Amino acid sequence: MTTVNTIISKRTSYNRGTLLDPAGSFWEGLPSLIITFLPTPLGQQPSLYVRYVDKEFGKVKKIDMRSVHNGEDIFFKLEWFVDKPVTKITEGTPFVDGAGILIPMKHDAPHTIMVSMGSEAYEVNAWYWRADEPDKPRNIWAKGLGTTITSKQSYLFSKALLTGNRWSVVLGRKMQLPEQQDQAVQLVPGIKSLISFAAWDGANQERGGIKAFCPAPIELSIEA
Amino acid sequence: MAGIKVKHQAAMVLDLNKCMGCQTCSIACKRLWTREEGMEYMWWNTVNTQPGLGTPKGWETMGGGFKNGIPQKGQLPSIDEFGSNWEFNFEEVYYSGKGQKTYLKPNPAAKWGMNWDEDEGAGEWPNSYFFYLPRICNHCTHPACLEACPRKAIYKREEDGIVLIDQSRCKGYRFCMEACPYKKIYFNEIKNVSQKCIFCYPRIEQGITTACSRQCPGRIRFVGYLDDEDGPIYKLVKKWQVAIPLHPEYGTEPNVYYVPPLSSSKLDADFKITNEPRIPLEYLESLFGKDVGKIIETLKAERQKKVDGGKSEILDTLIGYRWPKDFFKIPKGKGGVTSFQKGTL
Repeated sequence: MTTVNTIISKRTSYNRGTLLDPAGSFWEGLPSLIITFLPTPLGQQPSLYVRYVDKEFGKVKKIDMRSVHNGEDIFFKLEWFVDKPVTKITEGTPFVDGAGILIPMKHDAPHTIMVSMGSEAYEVNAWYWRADEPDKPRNIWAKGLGTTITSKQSYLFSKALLTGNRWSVVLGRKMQLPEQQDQAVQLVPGIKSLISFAAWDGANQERGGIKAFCPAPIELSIEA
Repeated sequence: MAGIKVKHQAAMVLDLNKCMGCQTCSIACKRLWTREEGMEYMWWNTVNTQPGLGTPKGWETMGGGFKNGIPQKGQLPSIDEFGSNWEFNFEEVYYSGKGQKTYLKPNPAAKWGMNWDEDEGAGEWPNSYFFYLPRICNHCTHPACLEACPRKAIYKREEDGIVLIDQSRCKGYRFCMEACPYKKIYFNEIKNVSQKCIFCYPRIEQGITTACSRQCPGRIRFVGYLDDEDGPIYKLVKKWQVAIPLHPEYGTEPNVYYVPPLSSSKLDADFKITNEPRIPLEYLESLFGKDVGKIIETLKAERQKKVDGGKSEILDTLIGYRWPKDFFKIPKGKGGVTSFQKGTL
């Protein structure tokens, strides 16, 4: 395992059913890439109240990540540890665990500012997974902090596995999504883009901009 | 930090001397606005006995608001602290033949409720005391909820100052619930959004007062615009200054005002009436600030005028002889109000 600046989404011939299984043996054959996380910078928060957060947050310190595609669908497998998994909103646990992937809406837009969730000119597409709806990931797009919009329909798919304190989540989608040209990134084999990640520790009441994230964007290379 | 400027500010005055704690206001609101799934435990309008812990339990100790313009951290109230929605075992008791063996009981077990500490109050017999305190969202001039929302989902309408949560922008982060020092925002777990009193804005837009005020049997509520010099709100708040906000020290500049309660007198050891009020002035000051004593004295003086056969415009206004004319002054579409906005509860 190595810390990386580039993520290569390997090409494979396996079908969606195989690739979507976080426990599938297929994934074991792929190198695990470590993405180091930091708490989001509070100074960037759009609300003064949130900037006054007075406790440690960004509890997820790193995420292990793998990616493959089969020419039609692309998959990202994320694995991370939490101290105390939260899978459901309850009286004592008002927030749940979550994770997200961020990709510029246009792969030929290297100026996209990932740390600010995009900008007016350079939008981003987020794939958002929550532990209380593990098979219903949400498609989100944004053009700056506090601007996220969730698509009415999500074409994403996911499966999650919780083993002890370890989350294993596979998020996937058809690479091309003509149904959501304006709301979802269009991917093709052979391109390079950027990618970033985030995770929310529900037990620590992390939500919204209060999260752990990958501060420097990583190059995403989709094998031809 | 300056408040948000609006063309006109819708406001409410509640005369606590008339509230009898009947909860008709609460039911009127419940029937109209919080009947959908996920809203079962919500009471946008509450009436609590003071002194008491209220709803959510101990809300006055949960923080939020502003100090010197700086947002203060607040606690996120839980559903149990608000009081969850209880289901009762009607089927088991009435229809299963077990009526002699079991009894009606709530599920989940009742730990707290909207009006849990009703009529407990404080003080020792024969000088125990209490009064009722109805509360809604204060539609503040400087709303802590609005400031706290990173999504800008909360907005204050320019035309009437009503504070609303745009349900399509809310992501359920609940920073607003923490930040509101009055703890009058609820979380809908089904829809994953925060929800609160909307000051019945679709009614206000039509020149009709809020459901809680219109249904009030005690006729304790006045509704209108703060800048309407001919209306009861302006007169009670600005002109005569006998209505003041709850916990002004929270720094949000509420637009719901209260005429503080006069108190019956304490009895001495021989059960003779003294001049000392049962409700300690210090307690009222802890709720309404230092001006409350002056207001109590004004109200007593005005009452004495009437007792002596004189006239009191203040008391006449508070009594309100013509219902509903003397209580609500809501010009239809004042300030060019917008039409009903779907999905912006």
